[in-house]
Amino acid sequence: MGQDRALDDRVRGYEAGRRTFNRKMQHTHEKGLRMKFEHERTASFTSTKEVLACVSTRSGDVSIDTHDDREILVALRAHSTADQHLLDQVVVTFDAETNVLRVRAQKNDGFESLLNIKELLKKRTWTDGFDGGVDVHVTLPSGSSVEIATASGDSEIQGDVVHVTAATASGDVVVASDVVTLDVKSASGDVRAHRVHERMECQNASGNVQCTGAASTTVIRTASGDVDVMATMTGDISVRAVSGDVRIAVALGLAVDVKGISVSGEMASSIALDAEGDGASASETVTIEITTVSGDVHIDRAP
Amino acid sequence: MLISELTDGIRDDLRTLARIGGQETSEVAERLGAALEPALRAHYLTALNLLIQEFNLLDASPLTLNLEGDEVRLVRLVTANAEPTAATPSEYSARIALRLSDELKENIETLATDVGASMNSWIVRTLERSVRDDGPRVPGRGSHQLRGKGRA
Repeated sequence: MGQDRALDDRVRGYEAGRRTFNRKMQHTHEKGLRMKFEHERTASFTSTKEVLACVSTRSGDVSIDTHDDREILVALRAHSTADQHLLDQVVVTFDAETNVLRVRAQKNDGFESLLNIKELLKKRTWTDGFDGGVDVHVTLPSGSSVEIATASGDSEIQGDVVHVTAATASGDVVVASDVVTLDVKSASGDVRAHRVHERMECQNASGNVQCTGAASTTVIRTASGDVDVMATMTGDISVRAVSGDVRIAVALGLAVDVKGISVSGEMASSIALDAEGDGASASETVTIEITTVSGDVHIDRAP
Repeated sequence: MLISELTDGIRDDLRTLARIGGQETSEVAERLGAALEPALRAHYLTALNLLIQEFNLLDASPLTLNLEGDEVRLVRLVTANAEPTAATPSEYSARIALRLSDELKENIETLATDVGASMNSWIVRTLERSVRDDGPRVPGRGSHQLRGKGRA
């Protein structure tokens, strides 16, 4: 419950910030100004349909929002006066033919994708040179999708976004609205998601994973992070953890088929389980497969 | 055993191999080794986990994995009242005809021989354990498998 409150608080805080941000963006756009605030740079484009936004930063945070308009609004904010020069280094492009927006917060730093790990590892540490931060705020047409890569920056996605892909070393990823697919790869960042409809895949080392509406296919792999997932519809949930605890809350009335194994963790279910169940068919059942080494496993009814 | 012994060994091998590529490759390998260490630990523990689970399906006394910092220890669980009191031959009054594959029969024979029991005793003990462990699970230590169907 504590985690739920924390997520709610964060979502509320985010929404308040988003409203302020949208007001500023609207004001900026109306005046046609490129530099509205001392530490801010803005850009806008017009799309013909939904957009794929690819955003990469180092320590800068990324926030995504949508509106019922074909306008794409991008606002970049430097963390401080000392970082102001970084605003000009940010590359913002939009391909009107493919409707792909690219925002690269560091020029040619090889960090467009965490797949480019060689370039990343050439740096002395994960945070080497990452201190100069530029936050990225993007407002997209409803129905758009995003691909985000950060080193330590947090990511927050809000609004009518369809597909979310995020890769981060230590940044948190918060998806505060329903999405169709969610794919997150993280080293130590936490993942907090609202409802995912079709497919959710999370791989992380030590970050926690929390989701209030598991997808019809949900796959979570973690080493020491805790997993807290709520099943609200039928489907398959697969969780593999090493030392992290796993809690699956199942919505009232859903049939479950549980296969859980732990080497030394405690395993418990407040839902009565037997070999036959009540005869629910596979298509009416949420299948839960959990494997842990030392993490505890709890299957409960959702409150 | 220490997990760091394994991860250090892999990093040493990586360093040695990277020397082939020169100084720059060595530096990349050094950073790669450091970055990979958490993943190596996770994969190592997962592999141990799967191995122990497979072992526990075949053996009467389950093994558990104890983690204390960097140290991993395998512990065999021997509970004082884990085994039911052996039935006397006169209590083996019921009989059933059991049809099973030749392969399963051979496996049961091997497992029974390994623990110095007859096939009949081994099967009875296994069935008793299954019956005892069946039904809804309640919170508590020592429940290392959670299987079944139900409705929330």
